[in-house]
Amino acid sequence: MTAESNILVLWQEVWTELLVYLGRPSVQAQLLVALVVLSVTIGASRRLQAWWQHVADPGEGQATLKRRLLYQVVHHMTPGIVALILLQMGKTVLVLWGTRGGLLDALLRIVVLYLMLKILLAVAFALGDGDGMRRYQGTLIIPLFTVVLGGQLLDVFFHNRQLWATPIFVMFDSPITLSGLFLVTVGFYLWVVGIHAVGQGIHYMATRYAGADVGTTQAMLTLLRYLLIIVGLGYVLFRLNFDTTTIAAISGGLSVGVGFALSTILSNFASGVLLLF
Amino acid sequence: MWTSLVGLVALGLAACAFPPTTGQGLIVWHTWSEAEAPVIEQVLVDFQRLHPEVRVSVERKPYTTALDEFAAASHAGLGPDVLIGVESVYAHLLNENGLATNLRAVAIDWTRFDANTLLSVEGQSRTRVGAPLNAYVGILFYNPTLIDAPPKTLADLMAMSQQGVKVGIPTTFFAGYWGITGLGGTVFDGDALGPDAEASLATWLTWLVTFQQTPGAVLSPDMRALVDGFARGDIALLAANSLELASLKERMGSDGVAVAPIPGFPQARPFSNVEVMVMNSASVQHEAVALLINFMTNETQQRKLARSTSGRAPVNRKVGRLNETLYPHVSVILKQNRAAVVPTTGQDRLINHLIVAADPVYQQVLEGVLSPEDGAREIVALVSKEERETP
Repeated sequence: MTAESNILVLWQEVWTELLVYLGRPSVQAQLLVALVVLSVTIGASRRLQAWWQHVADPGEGQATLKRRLLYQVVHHMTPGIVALILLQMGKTVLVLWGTRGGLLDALLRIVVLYLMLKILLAVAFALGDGDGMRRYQGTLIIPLFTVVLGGQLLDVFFHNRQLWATPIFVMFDSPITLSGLFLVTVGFYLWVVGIHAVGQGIHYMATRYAGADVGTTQAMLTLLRYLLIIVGLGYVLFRLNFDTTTIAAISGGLSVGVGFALSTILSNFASGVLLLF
Repeated sequence: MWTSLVGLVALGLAACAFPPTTGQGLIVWHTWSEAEAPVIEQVLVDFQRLHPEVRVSVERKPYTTALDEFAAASHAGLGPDVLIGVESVYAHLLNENGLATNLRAVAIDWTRFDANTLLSVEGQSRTRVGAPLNAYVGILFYNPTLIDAPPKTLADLMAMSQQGVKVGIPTTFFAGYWGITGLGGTVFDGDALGPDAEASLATWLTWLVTFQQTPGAVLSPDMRALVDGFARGDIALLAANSLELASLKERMGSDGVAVAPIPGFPQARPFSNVEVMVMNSASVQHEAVALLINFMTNETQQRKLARSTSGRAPVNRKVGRLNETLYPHVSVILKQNRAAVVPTTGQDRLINHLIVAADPVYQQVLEGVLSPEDGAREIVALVSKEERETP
């Protein structure tokens, strides 16, 4: 059986299973409760957040760290707390009604994860600059959480299925699995953006609170970032089962050409590194 | 983020309104070993061919994790419609926890099973916690390159061991129950401990102590070690569960292992384990599940399963005989299973108490710490105490 037919058969099975699950009254009841809970959460938390902003917003001025922290933690955690309470209530109702609540348990776990993430965000907002955090919220936090959410949902519905290990196509004599493809695309993107975000955070903290030199910190973090990106790339290639001799041959061939073409840039880069130390 | 979650859940609910248009889907999990999985999966393919309106999705789960996975999934309303390959005792547990459907009201042809086999799936309030598929049972394995003919009686077995033929016997209550019955004893009186339990246990323990003195005796509570010893050719005769046949054949070759009824057959009666099919209580596919169960337990499929697998006996009572020349292993297992003790639901708790109490005492008796009579007395006392204290 080819890799393409493998994945086709598997997806057909996954689709069949999904339809079977959705046809079960116990699943429908849980989804309905989840929908109600999440809708109420949106409405209620928006009102609560607006009220909290009205009574406690420290503004952009000279509010103390403690006050900023309190404001951000309450502001960020409100939707999660509301969802937790409502989900627990919904689950209790379902159990009393004699229906299952396992899916709501999974949703509760997701909300707890979300709350943990929000605590970190709240601290970051209180300590750092809001604009930077908002930028990373769109490029890193939300994609990362979507990945976690997707993984959790797949795990709940298709627990332990060999979905990720099924080959989709063959490249350079190596079967590329769904997990490999995911790693190359989304995984590597999150790695690069994550490194950048952590670097920015360290830079902000080191220069603002520890009095580190801006230029030196920036240069060291840039070097570290390149190193980590190369490590990430190596890991991705390793996970894809790429033949290391092929990589060595390609990089060997390219290195001469690249060396000539980028000789000025590389020499400037080396001079910069030497100047740092 | 919250809006996306709402969207996702709403999408799921919307999909509920569009049930599959090309027939019913049926999710099946089975716990058969990797080597035997193609056999049961082929039967499911045949079922699919006969019933194209039911779309079957099959997944193999390792036996060790299948029950936990099933319970977790069923608790969420997910999981398979049918789980194939659990022992009846676990089917009762699933049913008691509300995770397995009572199949009594499902359109299954129950008349094709023996009354004894049915008792193993009969729960409280006359529920049926699963449908029998196969049974496996204690039998005597022998190495045809080391001995010419297997012993027929317990006396023959003792004599062979006296001559130095290595004989492996498990020294645990469950795996060695055939010895108690083989010597004319019994432990049960219905679902309770029988009046002859102490004397029967003492007779068997005395026999084991005597047997232990013979040069060929290999006694151990460790079944894995005994099976490995047999596979290596160190043991010529071994009383063990028929399910071991598959792995022994793989390690020794088909001609390297032969099976015979337990010495003392038919009086010697080992326990029979019934392998059942369980319906998830979250499933609503009663009709499709009944179709599948009726298909898998019909005469043709039962014969096919018995011929193709190693160590399983059919439970359809019309499959009374298989050709001994063509299928020497399965015909012996089938014959032995007919004479086996099928534990009833009511006996499950008592058997558990007996296992817990007897297994350590068996060792103490064989080590000479206790006499067989004292050992039997202690087992009965411990079990009686547990039975009194357990509500």
